[in-house]
Amino acid sequence: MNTKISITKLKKSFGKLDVLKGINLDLSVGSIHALLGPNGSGKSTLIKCLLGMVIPESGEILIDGKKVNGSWEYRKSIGYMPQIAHFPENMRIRELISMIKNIRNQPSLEEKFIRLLRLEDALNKALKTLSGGTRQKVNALLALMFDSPILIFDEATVGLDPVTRLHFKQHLLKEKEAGKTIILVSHFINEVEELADEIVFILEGRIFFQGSLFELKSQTKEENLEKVIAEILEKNGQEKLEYV
Amino acid sequence: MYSIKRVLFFLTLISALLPAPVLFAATLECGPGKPLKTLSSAVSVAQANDKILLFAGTYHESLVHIRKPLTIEGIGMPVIDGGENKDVITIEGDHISIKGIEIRNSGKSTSRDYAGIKMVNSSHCVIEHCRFINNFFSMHLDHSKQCIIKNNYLNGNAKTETASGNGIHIWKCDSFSILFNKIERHRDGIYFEFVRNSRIISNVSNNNLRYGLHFMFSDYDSYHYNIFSNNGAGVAVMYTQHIDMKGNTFTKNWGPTSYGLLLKDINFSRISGNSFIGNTVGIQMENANKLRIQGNNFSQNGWAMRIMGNCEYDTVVANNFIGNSFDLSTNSSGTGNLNVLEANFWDKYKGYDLNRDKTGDIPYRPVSLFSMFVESVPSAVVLLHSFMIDVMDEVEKNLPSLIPVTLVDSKPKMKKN
Amino acid sequence: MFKIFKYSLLDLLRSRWLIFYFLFFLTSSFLLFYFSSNAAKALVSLLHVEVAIVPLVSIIFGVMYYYNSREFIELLLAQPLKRDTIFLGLYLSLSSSLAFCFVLGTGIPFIYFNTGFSDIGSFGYYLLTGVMLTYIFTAFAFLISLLNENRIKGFGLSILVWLYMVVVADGIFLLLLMYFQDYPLEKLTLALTILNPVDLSRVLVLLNLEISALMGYSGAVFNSFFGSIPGIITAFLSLLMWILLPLFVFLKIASRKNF
Repeated sequence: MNTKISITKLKKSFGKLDVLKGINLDLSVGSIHALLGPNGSGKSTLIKCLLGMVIPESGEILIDGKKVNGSWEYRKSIGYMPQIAHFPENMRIRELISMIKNIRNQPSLEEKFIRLLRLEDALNKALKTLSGGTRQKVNALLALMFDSPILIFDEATVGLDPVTRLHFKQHLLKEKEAGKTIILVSHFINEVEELADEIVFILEGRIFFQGSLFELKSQTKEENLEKVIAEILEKNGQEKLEYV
Repeated sequence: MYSIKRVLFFLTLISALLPAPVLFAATLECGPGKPLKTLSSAVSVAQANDKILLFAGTYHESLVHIRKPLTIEGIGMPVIDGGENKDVITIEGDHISIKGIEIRNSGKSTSRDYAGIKMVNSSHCVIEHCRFINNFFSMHLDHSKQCIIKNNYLNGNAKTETASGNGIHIWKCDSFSILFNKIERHRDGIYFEFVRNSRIISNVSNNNLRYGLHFMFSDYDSYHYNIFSNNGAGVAVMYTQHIDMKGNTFTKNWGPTSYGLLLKDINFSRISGNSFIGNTVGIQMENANKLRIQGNNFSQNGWAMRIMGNCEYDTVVANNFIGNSFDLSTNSSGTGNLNVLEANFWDKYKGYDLNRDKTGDIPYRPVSLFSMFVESVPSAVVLLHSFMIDVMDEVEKNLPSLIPVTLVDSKPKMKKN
Repeated sequence: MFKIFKYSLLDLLRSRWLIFYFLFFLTSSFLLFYFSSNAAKALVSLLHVEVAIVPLVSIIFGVMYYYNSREFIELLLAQPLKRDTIFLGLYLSLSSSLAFCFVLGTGIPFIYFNTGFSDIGSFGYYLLTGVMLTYIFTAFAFLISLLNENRIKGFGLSILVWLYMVVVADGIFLLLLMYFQDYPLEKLTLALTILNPVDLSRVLVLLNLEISALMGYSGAVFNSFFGSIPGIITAFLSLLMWILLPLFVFLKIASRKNF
């Protein structure tokens, strides 16, 4: 298996709260990795460490075998779609796109994704006038348009209309075929079942499970992923934590 | 026939009134190409009441001493260059007139008062249309009376106070008229000490190192319509009484120790219709009593007036105070008990006039809290125009009890006087 | 950095608040120049605006802008950009656009009413110190809002900083002068002035308006100090330090912060 991202002994705490307690994780090329875990398990901290937004106390992050902690150039190879994003409010979408293009200075495929996400009519609107769904489309566009080898989606499909959501999911599978490393944080279990090649389950700042859907399911007698997760949580005394 | 008789009668009358010798005066010509080459030779040859015409040219002469009644008239502005040797011309007598000559380069000394023209024990003399360039004192006049100094231009090229003399220096004289002169770059432009019954009218005194006009122990004098600007310390009137100061302009007397007008130990005088524009202090008053200060304009001064605690029975009425950093300040909270402040216009006054009598309905307190701070700690003035000071003064205006100063204009004017 | 600067500036220049700020300076300067007999007099009035309003607006608007840009900052953080680049770009765009509004807002009326360009020297100082005050207080604003996730706290603290620099510091200054009035105070006064950017700006403009003579002996000391090249350099170094110090601390903390 071709490893794209390799994380070793990654630790992070906020004050007294240990959020990441030594994460070891390898993510391979050409697959969709679903990051699962209850609230507060450290999913977003892990992603933010990967993006350099949170600075870990110790541990290493390697991308293509190169250490990336503290550097910034590696982010050229990442497309990130945050859960919610706010933009400079007075800008128009078109200007935002050209700004990000200008900043990244990389070839981009914005035309293709504007069509895919059906943003043509909104291009000249100021961002402050946009609905939540349209903003989410803009977010997706910015993540996808640079054809980055690593794609990170944090609750990507929330707020998207059903048609766009369908197009989006189909596109993710295409990206996977194209050899992208895709990290998906999602609470839609069926979406995870539908798309993910690998499940990474984080619990209390540690990797609790990494493996295929099949392997995860074989750990329990349950067939339904939602029930599998519930059972895992119960086993680990997490019954009070609600998985949302 | 009757009319001829009458003319003859008048002629006789006139000749009887005129000083007799005038009728027999001669005119001597002096100058290059003339029989008389030097002014001194002309003066010694001349008889009393003669007229000497001094033709254009440069005369290197000094210590010309005139003791008899003479008229010396320059033709084409001749120059007498003293070569920095003591006094250039000395006048000691009556009825001596000097007109239209330029006098240069008197001697300079730290112990003697060398001058372009020195006058002693004289009377009825006239110095007019002369130029005085680079003299130690341009004119040094003492123990004389009833003389006229008119239309002269004086430039002393003064550089330091100790190495320069005054423009028109008058000591122990009486009944002088100083008219239409322009004086610059001396120590004091005009200096009066023990001078009485004299008037200084329409002169311009600029750029002098110390005072534009300096008055000491001189009573019953007046100065009107003069301009004093850019002098080191402004104008000083000290140890005198009964002075009438009218219509003068005091401007741009800037400097840490500079005033438009410094009044010190002065009584019974009147200051009216003057303009004080852009001076560090418009009028500084120390032990100045029973003065009437009326109808003056104070604008763009640092302090329009500083009235020290030892000033009493002064009346400040119908003046305009516009754009001054401080309108009025005092070093003593008791100042004002015996002074009258009334009907002035203050641009900082924010009162109202409900009964439309053109007088503000609430009194104005021109002494600000900050100005009191500055009086006790001069360094505090660096906080001028700071936001904190603005706030403080505004608070104080609404709670006037903070300052016990009694200098209050009870009837401030709503519009300019 | 220039890219961030450019885009953020473009965004800011469309902001309602910034236009309001520009119009505020335009109208107040216009009125002051119109009603004052000369430029110097108007400048003294404008100085009151400069030493109070410029710091206040810079710090409040700075805090507001930072809080409103938090998500935009996160968007940028995920891009291949150095953190210093992002924060410096944002800082420079905000402070520069505020400074731009200030310079334009007072500059246009000055040129319009003062065709003879009298007092151009003191007006130059006025603009320069106003610009520097803008940069100083925006830097403070960014530092405060970076340290306080809570907006209310951030706004409160920024008003306190403003109140201290503009009002309280001068009050302490005055009290010190009163307390030590029996000693020669010129050096102390000079030192305290140099250490406070607001006072320093005010004094630099006033000295050029020839009001120095008002200041008696202190004025003479000030004049000879600020009239000399080393004095002017010291003054501007001090102002520069007031920009660089909070900015440096801000960038330092920002580079280690978790978003």
